[in-house]
Amino acid sequence: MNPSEKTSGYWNPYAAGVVLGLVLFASIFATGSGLGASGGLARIVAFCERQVTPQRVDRNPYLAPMAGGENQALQHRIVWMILGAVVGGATSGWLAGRMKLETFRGPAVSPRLRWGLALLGGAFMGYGAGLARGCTSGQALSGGAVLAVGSWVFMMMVFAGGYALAYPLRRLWN
Amino acid sequence: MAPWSFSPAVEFAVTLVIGFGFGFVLERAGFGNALNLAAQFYLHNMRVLKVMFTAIVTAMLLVFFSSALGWLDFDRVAVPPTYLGPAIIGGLLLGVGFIIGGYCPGTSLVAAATGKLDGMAFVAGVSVGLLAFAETVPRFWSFYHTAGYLDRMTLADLLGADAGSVVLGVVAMAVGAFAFAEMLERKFARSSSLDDPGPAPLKNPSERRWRWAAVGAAMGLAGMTWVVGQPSLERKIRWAEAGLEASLHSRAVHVDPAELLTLMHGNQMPLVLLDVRPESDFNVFHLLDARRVELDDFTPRWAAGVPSNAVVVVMSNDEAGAHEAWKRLAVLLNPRPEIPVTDRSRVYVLAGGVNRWLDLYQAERGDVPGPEIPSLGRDRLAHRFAAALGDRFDVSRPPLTVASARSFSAKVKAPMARRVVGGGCG
Repeated sequence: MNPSEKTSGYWNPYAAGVVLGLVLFASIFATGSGLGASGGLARIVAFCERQVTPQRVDRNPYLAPMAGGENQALQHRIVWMILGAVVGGATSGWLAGRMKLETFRGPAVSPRLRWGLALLGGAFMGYGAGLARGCTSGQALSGGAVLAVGSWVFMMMVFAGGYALAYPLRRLWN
Repeated sequence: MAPWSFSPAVEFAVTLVIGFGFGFVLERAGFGNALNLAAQFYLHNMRVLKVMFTAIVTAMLLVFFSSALGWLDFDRVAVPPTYLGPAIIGGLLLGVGFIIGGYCPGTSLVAAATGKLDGMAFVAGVSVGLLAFAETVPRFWSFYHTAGYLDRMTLADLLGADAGSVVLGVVAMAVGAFAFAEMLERKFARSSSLDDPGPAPLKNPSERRWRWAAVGAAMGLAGMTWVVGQPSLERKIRWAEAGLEASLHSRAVHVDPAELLTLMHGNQMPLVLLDVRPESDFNVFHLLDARRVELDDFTPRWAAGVPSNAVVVVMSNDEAGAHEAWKRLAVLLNPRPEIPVTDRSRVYVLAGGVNRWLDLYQAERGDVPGPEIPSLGRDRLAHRFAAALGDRFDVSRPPLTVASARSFSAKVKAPMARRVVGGGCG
């Protein structure tokens, strides 16, 4: 048994949820907005595309408000949010001895296949997060806590999409 | 009242700290490990549901409780606007990506930060997906921008209920979901070949007591939120009363008729003129482009429709009615209504009201006082007109030369363009 697959060493899920809720509340209380992740990545993507083809960014109605013309894609709080999340995650993993180069995968999946699947799954999520204007952090978690209608619909759809494919794809994880 | 407004540098620093906490907790919750996340969909370890719902319930309770007590202004909290079409399709795509890739954007960052190669691949995938979205969304821009658009809409707005009752309902639903999840975990524990068996059944009586205490505390907080209720505009005015009275008393928000006339002629900033007099007075005479409004018209939804760069000027025959309206408008439009206005305001009062305007421009009296002098009239129209022509009088907007004949100290400043507060994921 791979020791990093144990649940021991992780916090009790309800306790972790309470602390995560406190972090989310602190964000809403202090800045008026919740947590987020895909928004920061979207800004980094917009920034990179601008370095390559600035005209294309200027003409794109999704990218232009972030990186077109005078807009500085990276001068936004959400970019600092994901920077903090990376440092916070690394600190926690390092303190708990979980900082290690490895690949989490189902028993029937080779590391190479797992990387390919992670890339594919990530692409689905990136596309979906762009469309839904947020991911599980910004829409489901932050929007859910302020009772936004669209966020609750979104959350139910995420679970629906996952459960719909869980059985056909069971060999990936079990 | 929170949320506070920070300078960009401070806001970035605060967000960095919050982001640190976010990443730290995600890692501690076990979300840096795709196996813990995927397990949610095979029912033997419902960690994802437990952490997410507990976090939502905790933050929701604190947000609406603070709002009920006046510590947090919910109208200034970012509520992601609802677009049902994109939320449904996007949500399904996220679900599919979740089961294929094993992470979501936030958790993949934490996985990548702790050296997980699959997490790094996932982050790269998310970036590719976002790029693909950005390059293809112009083809279905109207769907993205309009399908099922409901603006800022909470479940409480949808149900027409006080948010406290919805909060109580969500807490009850979450407790039920947790009980159901643990039942599923016990049922599916052995049917899975995955190493992680999920939590063992509760044997420890102290943990059982903790759970009941937590459920009781959450229910109690939700109940109190419901009993106190979300603040009405009247309650918000009472909370800010001292600051509002001080602003009116100092006359920092009263503009001279000549200044208003200058603004009406200038096209530099959008001007919203609001007339709160009775309909009969309004029909007899009003300023050009003034809109007649009742005090009850001022709601958060109405305020959201006022352009963020517009200056609002409210007037009555003298000042009493305009002062009542100003208090409501200041609570709705000014970021910190409880602090007396010294510099900027989004809403002003026409000093001396319509009567002083007419003294100056119709009767052309030489002794019209400046904006520092309050008008003590009883808010009745003191001028007579042969016919009720509304704004079809010359004095509804006299020429600019008339305004420049009078000296005044300008009070109105262009409102600071308020940065759009987007949701977390922009």
